[in-house]
Amino acid sequence: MNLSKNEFTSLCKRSLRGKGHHWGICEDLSNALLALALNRFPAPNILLEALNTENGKLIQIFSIVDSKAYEASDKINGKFFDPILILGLISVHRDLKIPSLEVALDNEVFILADNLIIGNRSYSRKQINTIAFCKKEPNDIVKHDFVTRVVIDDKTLKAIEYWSNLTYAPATEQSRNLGAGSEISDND
Amino acid sequence: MALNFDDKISETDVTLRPAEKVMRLSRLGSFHQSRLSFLRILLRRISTERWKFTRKVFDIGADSSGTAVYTYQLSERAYSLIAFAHKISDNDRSDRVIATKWDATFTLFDGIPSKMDIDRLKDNVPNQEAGRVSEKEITLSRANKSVRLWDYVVNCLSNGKQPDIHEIEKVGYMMRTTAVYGSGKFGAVDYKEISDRSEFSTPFQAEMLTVYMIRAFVIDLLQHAAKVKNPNKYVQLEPKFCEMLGVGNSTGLGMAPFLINHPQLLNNWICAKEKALARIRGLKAPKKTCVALFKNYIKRSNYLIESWNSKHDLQAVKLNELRRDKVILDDYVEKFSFNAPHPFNTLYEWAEETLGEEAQELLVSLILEPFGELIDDLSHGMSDTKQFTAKIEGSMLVGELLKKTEKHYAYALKINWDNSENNELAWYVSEEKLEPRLGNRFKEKGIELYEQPLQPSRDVARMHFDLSKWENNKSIAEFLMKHPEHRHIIRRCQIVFNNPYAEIQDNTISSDVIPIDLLRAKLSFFGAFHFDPRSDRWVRINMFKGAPLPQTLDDKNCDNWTYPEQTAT
Repeated sequence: MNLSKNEFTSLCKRSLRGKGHHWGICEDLSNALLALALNRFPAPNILLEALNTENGKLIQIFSIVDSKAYEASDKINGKFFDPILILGLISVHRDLKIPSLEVALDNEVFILADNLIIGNRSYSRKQINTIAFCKKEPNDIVKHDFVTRVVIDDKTLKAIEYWSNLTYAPATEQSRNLGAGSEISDND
Repeated sequence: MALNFDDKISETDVTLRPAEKVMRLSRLGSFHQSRLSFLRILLRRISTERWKFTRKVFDIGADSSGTAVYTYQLSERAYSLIAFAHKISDNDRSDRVIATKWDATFTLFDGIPSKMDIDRLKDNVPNQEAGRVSEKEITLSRANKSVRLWDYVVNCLSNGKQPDIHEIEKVGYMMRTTAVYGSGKFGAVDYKEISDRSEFSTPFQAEMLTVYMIRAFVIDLLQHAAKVKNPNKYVQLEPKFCEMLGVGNSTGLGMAPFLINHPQLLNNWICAKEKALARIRGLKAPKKTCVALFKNYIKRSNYLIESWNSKHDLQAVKLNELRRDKVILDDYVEKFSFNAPHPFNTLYEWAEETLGEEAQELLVSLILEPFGELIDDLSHGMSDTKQFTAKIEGSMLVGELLKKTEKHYAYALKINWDNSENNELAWYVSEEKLEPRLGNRFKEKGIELYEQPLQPSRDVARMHFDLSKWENNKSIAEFLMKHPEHRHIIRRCQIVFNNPYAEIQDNTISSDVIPIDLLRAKLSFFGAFHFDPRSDRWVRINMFKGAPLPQTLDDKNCDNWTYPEQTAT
């Protein structure tokens, strides 16, 4: 199945919310995952990884974008879970007027140039201890096209939907009667 | 379109109306269509760019089911409405999201569809939410008949007679849409992929185009039904009746969250309208032709008000007040001197002191009407392509955020959130076809677990409570590490600080909130007429009523139809 960008971000937001993340976290992670998806990273699988990570462990990566640590620091040490997400978060957050950015997740190097995320698309480390940043001359960057759809297999979709379905209130007669239009006949 | 509260329009001395006045629900729920409404912008573009309209396919059978295709040809591309007509029973007809059958279903196709495209869509479009469309499709929609009017008009035409104009006036449409989905829903193309096309640079243009083409299809289907019924005697519906028929729309709670979820976009819409008003109020000596036109529109608007019917208590009270105020307004304008400096500013200020909000907002729309040359350019700033990607400024200090929050959200901080009435409702989505609902958190056990973030006033108050315990010189980034639960509302606050019309300045979960006020605000920007609430959370409206048909639309009539000169006789 292929999803529109709107459908994918909606799926991300709902499933992360279903997992119990706060709304603001859901919004930012969804944008990050979309950025990864458009750059041909396996975003549905990355989302699934995030859904299988304890919520509290993901929070630390937000300090890097909120404080713009990627602009001010060369290197940050800590325990970073699902580190690939940081690429999406910075890609969405960074000021595109500043030079390209090289991000090393432990020893794996990625480049963020404009909206591009360039690097090993099969990268899947669960936890790292060091993130390094350096400015990068844009001359030698090989650019790629963005995709406009997010391909997702049925098994992964089903696993994600388990979480998103938790955000919907169960269908009850009482609730049905509270829906708009339940009061009178629709026919005129 | 960022602006500050104290901004003055450069060419005038008139400030914009303050957000605390404009963004109250009662005023938003009194908005009327204007020349900056999206369907008005669309019709101007179609006529200016001379789009060519054709009916490519009309393969409808004797039982009124089948397929039709209508195409608008632009200079560089084409858009086609693919319509599927269905035969359904009255028991299956429902305007609710949970419906599964409709009298007609539609998609707006990017280009001219092949037979293979139509076959693919035939398997999906009639299923609506249960089907899938592709990147070739821009919108997905459906409509139900007004059974009573449909049968009546078909009978008249099949007997060689024109219908009674009063019967047409009572309903105003033959079919009403119950959803027009766009922006990537159910597999359709994402708005971002087509937003660089000039014809889609203003919001909701694809959706408005869909509805406008549906209107043409509905008239053809109606006449087809009459012909099938009595091929020897039937007559075509006279053009004046065709033009009187708009497309109805039935809108429930699904539309309400949109305005709360799109603060930047809401700001841009309101800001365009407020700037337009301020530009005209700031004119020291407006052109005499514009003044004459304004006076003409004041008179002509009476027909629209007279033909506006609603049995719902909420709207009936407002309509009575509007009719009473309109008499006062007409009288005042009759005697008013437009030769004094800044006449529209004087007139507006008088209205604000004298009339109710319905009449004030009608006056705003009427003031805008003759000044296209001065204000139509404002439509270019009504979009927002960066929605949902607003960045949190983590370097902002706690002291600054507190100060700005207290300025922009003073109304929210005054509310006693411990009072259950102020916290009674919860917005949630049911698993039943994902229908949006609004429930009583104290009576519907457990719905709080599913609550959507559609109560900015309460969330701001909670954020402010936690934030005020922090030292002023700490950063928001530090605060958010400890309080990630406030992340969404801090992002929102930072949008609102620079976009004062981004926030509805009322409590959206209070026991006395009227959700249709939110619906009406959005529908007025679509260009809807004749708001007819069916409850406090469901409204019917009419779109394109009185507008020229695609076959006759030109640059002379594309704007001069919203306040028709004729009256029903």
